[in-house]
Amino acid sequence: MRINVTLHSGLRSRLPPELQGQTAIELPEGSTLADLAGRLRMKDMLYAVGGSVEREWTRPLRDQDEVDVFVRAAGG
Amino acid sequence: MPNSYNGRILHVDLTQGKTWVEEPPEAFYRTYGGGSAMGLHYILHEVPAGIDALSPENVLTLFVGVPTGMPISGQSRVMVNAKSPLTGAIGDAQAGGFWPAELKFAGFDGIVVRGKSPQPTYLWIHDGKAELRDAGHLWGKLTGQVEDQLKKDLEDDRIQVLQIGPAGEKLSRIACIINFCNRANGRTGMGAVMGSKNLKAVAVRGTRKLKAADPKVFTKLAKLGRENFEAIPDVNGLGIHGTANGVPVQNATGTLPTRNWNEGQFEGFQSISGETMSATILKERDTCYGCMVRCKRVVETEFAGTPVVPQYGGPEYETVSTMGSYCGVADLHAIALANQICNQYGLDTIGAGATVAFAMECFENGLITEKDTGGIQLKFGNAEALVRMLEMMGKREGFGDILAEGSERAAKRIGKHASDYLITVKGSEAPAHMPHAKKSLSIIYAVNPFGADHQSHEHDPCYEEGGLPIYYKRMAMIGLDKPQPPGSMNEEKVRLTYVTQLFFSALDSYGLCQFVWGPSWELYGPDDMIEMLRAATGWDITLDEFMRVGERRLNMMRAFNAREGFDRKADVLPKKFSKPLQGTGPTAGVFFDPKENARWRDVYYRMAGWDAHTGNPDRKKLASLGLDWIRL
Repeated sequence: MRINVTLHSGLRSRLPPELQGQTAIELPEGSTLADLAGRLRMKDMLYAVGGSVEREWTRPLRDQDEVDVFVRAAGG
Repeated sequence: MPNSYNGRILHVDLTQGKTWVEEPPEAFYRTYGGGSAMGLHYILHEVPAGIDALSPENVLTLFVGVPTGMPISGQSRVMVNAKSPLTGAIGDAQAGGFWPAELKFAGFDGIVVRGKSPQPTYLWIHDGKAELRDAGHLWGKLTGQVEDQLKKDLEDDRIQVLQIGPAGEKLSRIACIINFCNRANGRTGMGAVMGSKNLKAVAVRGTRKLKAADPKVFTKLAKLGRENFEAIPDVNGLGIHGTANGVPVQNATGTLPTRNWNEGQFEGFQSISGETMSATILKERDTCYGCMVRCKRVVETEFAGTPVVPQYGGPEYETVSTMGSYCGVADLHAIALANQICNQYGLDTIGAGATVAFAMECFENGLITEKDTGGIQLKFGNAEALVRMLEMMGKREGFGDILAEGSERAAKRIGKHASDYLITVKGSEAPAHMPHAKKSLSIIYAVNPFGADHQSHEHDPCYEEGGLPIYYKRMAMIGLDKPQPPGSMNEEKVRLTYVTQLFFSALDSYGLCQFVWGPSWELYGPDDMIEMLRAATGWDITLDEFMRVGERRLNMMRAFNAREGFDRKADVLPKKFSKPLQGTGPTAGVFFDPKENARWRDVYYRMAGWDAHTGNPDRKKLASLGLDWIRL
């Protein structure tokens, strides 16, 4: 399945080399948010699915899910 | 000359038209570190209790820090204090820019301003000298015009100008002080205090070289800063996309105040984010003196036929949110113009944006009509109405005259149930961070001596599980070694609030930027900071001593408020917070129980060593901090 990933705050430049330039990540059916974070190698970041923050790493992802990845410190 | 500072404080009596220089001993600098704590020393000694904040008896202090002007990021800060005309409590506001370092190069560590000039005046400080000059030709002018004129008058393009705009001249209680035309000492109406003294501007220029005790450390830390900027994504994102970088994550967590805090998610968030700004209207990234983070924005665009020009910088997160989601406005060009209007007229963007949002809710609910607003449809989302109303506030014309007093006084004028729509603590409008998910904000907003403030402690995400290892490594240095579950509220979160409040309070004394020096995600950690302060001053300063300075400042503020009759009864959240949030996202339905908040405040007062009944320090507590000279 394809997960559409938006990386905020310049995180795009931190993607592993094999994922550079990609906005969608291919994952096997039944993959979870933890699997995505592992693929991105960004387990310390904050994730949102469908526009709202998601803290359950075991949450199953679905094809075409929209996932945002953020740093935690914000604003000022 | 001491290391890193001048040992000279400029005193000004505007009534008498006199200036003189004080040269305090090293112990004075070591006790306060500079900044806000040093200013409070003079205010507590000289300002009688119960005065009108806009009277000549008020004392306005502008202090930089002991390390200001050193060759390192995040040191060029000016802290302004006086009794606040907005709240009646202590006023406090900080700004960056180039003016703070230039004041040091001009030979001074701070300025204490008393009295009232019989006519508009400005202060010209250059290479150890100070003189008062006529400002009749500057009065009534916009900040950009004043800056250009002063550079022409003084025949030097490199002078730095700190000033008030027309809003400060007209004593708007949400007027700010601006330097560089776009760096604001925004909060608590310090611009009105300066206006009440007929002091239009302080121009500075200096060539003095500051001496560091150990210059090699600065070279080492500069290298570390470059490495950390690449390694820590939070500070990297801040530098690249500015503070408005935070808009999308605030929205995702349900903490982006929307339509006067009725909701925590805004459907138009993407069009007002820092990333969108970078991709559309950003002309360049800007900086403060000596800082490599470069989080400041310079934008160029237009809205409704009015150009937005680079001289006025660009909107910060707070401005984007208070003018944007807070007002339901999703137009970044309009927000950029709103920012420019505030910087031209010298209005605090948080206070002004939040006050317009409050008025919009009054309009939506029929408490005010087009008859009141002069024909303006002051509805949520109406970008043209926002910018028109801000201009009227800056000029104090029509309904803008009422809103220029801030939302609490406007609510009294509007009457009916307008006060139900207020988002204020101690009369000061809340910034654009919501405690509905970042729960420790529910404590700091209530207890902070100068009203709800987002820069007075470290926010929850940096002390919640799942973050970067560096957060926890640094937090542990100040004794915070038990990261909590996301969204939780408990005694450890109160400890987060109190301990990091002391840390941030010290930053505002030593004059250090909270995006560069901090206890978690910032460019440098507490250990680097102490190394830097030692290298600057030659003092054997420790983290304990640093925290003690922060505690001293906090207790001085609280003691000032106690003299003005404030106690824990003023430490309350806005009434609206006890209603469930509407809208979508993780905070929909969340509300605050005032009784529960009072229980957490009990814990906070206990940690602070304050009287549980009053929420204030007693004589014994003050004496423990060397503040037994304060008369309560």
